[in-house]
Amino acid sequence: MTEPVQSYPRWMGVMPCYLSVQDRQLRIIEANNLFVRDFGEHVGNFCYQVYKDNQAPCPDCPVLQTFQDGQVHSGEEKVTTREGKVIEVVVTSTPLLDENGRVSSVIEMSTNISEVKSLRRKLSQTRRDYKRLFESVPCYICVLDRDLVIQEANTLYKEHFDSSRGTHCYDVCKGRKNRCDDCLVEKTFADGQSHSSEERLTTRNGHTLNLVVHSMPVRDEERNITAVMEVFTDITEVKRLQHQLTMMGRAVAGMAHRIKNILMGLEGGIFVVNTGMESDDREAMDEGWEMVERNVKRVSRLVKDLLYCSKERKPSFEDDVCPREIVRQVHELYTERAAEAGIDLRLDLDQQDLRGTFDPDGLYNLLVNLVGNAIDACRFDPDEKKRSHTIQLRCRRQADGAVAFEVEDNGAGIPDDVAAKVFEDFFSTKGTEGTGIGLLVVQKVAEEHGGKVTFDTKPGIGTRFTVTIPPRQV
Amino acid sequence: MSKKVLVIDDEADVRKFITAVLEKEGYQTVTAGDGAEALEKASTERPDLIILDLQMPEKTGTDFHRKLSRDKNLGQIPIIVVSGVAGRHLAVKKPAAVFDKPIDPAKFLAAVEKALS
Repeated sequence: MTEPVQSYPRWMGVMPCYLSVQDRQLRIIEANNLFVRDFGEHVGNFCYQVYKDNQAPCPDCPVLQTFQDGQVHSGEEKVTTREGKVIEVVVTSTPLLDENGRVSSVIEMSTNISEVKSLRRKLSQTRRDYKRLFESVPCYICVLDRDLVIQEANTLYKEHFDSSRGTHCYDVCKGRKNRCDDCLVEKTFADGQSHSSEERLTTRNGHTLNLVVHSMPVRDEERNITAVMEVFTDITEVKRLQHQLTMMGRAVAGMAHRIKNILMGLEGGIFVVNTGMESDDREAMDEGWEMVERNVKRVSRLVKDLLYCSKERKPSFEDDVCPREIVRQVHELYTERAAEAGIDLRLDLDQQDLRGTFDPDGLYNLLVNLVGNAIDACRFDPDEKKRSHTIQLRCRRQADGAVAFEVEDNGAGIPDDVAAKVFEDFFSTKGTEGTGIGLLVVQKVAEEHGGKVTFDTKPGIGTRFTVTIPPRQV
Repeated sequence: MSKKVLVIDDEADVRKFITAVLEKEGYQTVTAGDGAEALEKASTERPDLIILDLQMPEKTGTDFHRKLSRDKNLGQIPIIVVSGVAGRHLAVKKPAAVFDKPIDPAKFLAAVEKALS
């Protein structure tokens, strides 16, 4: 073997990368300190043996390419140190020319990029994690610029809000043409702080959601605010429960009052019976006993309605239930009682078969309550000019496939102040008659069927309650 | 002459209970089912004592009481509150007595007697 030429200056020996000079056969002619430290003394050995313990040159070897075309080449490789540690390197091969300008040897410079590579991998992993988080959190998230144009939005946001409405958040979330007063995003751009508020937004399906919105700044490396992120948490269910709890509290208070009155009626009845017995007054005894009976009936009806409203009773759905048949049963139940009060209870049923999956007991109770209310609305109608009272009991299929039950009376109607709280306050204006929760039963059964209860009323003219039940999804 | 007591409650059975207790003791009774009727009875019958339920439809007991107390003559009639509503003692300024439903007839009569003495 010939004496190696002085191929590179000595100072290169301390360079912080692996340097080696190789001949055409890829034999190492010379190597720097770092190379010797990590790969050992290998002058005379093939580089592929040293780096990879291979028996042949690597494919796309940059050194071989440089020998061929005299150009600088580079590539990435994985090599193994003498301690067995695999490191990633960027390899650059530079030709060394002889006095005739031919490539006599090649300097191979390998820079360890393992750390860079590992950081890059971690970075992209972090990006993926963030993306996944962004997409999978059960919140609506969007990122807005200073003009309130949506820069980015997560899947849930895109699914539920119609981006075809426009590019600004106020177009998409609220269908507005200009920005909202008290915009959280603008506040965050202005002061760099997080802000929050409660909003009611409408999804593309027309559902209104109660949301808590948080706005927070997105900053660049210089801490300048480049965008604002809005996170919307759906609290519709929480609101609903909160509302229900409030209502329940009121109901319990109202119930206590009602129960006290019933107790008072019971004790009063006993008192009157006893007084009658003491003075041998048959009439008083009868009157007292009637009071007892009446109040026992009231308490049992109250308990029955209460059970309906509580979780105790789970709806039991059955297939092939004919709602027309249930309406007929309720009609039959009330015809006589209505007639006694001078009310014409009419039946108007859809000709087509409405069979489907329903909770028959629930529907029966729902209708009993609605018809009972309608009868009372006629009985207690203060308008003496009305010649007759009529209640229409209807059941039909709507164009959208839903089954609609209607109970329409021409009774007293509901005054505005009462109409506003018929579902909320479950109170009774009927004194002794009502349990105050009949409409709650109606609403509960309708909701269990995925349906809803609405009503139209005009004081002095009458009221129409409509229960719509969509076809049941299996 | 026996004293006259006006019993105001929207529930017929409650009115019946209270009047039965009072009549057994020899009091004269008049009844009213709502605030409007009560105001009318108070001015025509001039009772010596009023038994009032505070939660009634039409004109509520408190509303009735406000109107009654503005009247020079009727405003002086003592009132016993009988009600199932919490906070019942707050609505009438100086009730002669307050009873929760259901009442204990003996205690109730003692309060009536005291209010009328």
